[in-house]
Amino acid sequence: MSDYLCHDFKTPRTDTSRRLPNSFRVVPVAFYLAMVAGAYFVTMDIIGYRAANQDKIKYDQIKAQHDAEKAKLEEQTGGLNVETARGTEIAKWIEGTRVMQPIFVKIARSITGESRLGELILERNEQLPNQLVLSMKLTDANISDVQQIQTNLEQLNYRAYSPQQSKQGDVIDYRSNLVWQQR
Amino acid sequence: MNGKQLACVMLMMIIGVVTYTGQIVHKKADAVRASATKAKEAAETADSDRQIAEITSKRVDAESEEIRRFLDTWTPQIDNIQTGQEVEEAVQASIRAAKLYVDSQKFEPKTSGGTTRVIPRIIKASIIAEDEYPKTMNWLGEIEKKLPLARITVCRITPGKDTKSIRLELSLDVPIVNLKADPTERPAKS
Repeated sequence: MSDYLCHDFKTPRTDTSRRLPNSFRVVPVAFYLAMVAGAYFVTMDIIGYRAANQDKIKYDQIKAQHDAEKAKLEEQTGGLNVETARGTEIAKWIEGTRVMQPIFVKIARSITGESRLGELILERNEQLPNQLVLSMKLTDANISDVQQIQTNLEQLNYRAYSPQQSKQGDVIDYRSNLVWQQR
Repeated sequence: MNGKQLACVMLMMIIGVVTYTGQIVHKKADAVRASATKAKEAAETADSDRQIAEITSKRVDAESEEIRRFLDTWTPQIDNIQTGQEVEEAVQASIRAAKLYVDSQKFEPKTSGGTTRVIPRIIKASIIAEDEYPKTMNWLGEIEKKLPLARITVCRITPGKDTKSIRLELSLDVPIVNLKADPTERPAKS
């Protein structure tokens, strides 16, 4: 058979699909690039995501630990503050409980000679309980006796403030504020 | 649309899907990274707060050491007297021990007026005694020693009926201390 005959059966035909424009040839390249870049970035992001998640859990735990320690310390501080407040209130009370008996004894021992003690009152100041109001009535006494009492009271760390004395006949009426001073 | 064009469109769609997925994953990773950074900052802040609390606690501990030691020293004395009956018994026992002649004695409870939670109640004792000077003075010293928390409010001494004796009029406040009370607690609003 000649070639010519063959052409009778298979005549040359035009293409069924046209060639793609040149710009479209980039598409497969872009596809491969996208696949590679996508795989890289997604993998890196997943690794980063997991690491960040672990970090978050770790830092949350550290925070919880610090918060617990802080709460414990604050509780301790609160306890100390309560105890300090209790101590302060007790100390305030005790400040006004200094013994009076030595004052009476000291005054009684200071009375010498002819003088006599008619009345002796020690009263605690309600507003300032560490201060005492001393009132006494001395019969047949003189000023030096009163001064002797004041000097003797200073040995007990008590200082007489704003002393007032008046003499009516043989009786000296003496009154002063006794303030305790630490030396 | 021929097969090649269709293939191109498919590839472009896949590129789009891959890019979109990548973006979403990246955003999620970024969000988690941001929250991890926040968690780190919060942990650092918590650490700083803990350090401040530790310093404060140490400072308060050091500053209050003396007053707490003072309170510890007084606690046994405070625990000894917890009721009005104990006050009465202590006073009467000291009177019996001193064989002091007592004209009258009165014990009455009173509130501290809400000024302090630690001392909610006070037992006010009023005693009038008349006896020899040394005996009376020794008893006064003894009662002050026995009830160190007692606060003598008024003490009046006058000559007694005979020359040897003196008359003592004593008024003392004995606190009933509640060491479990919290003085820092604010009073409840009524």
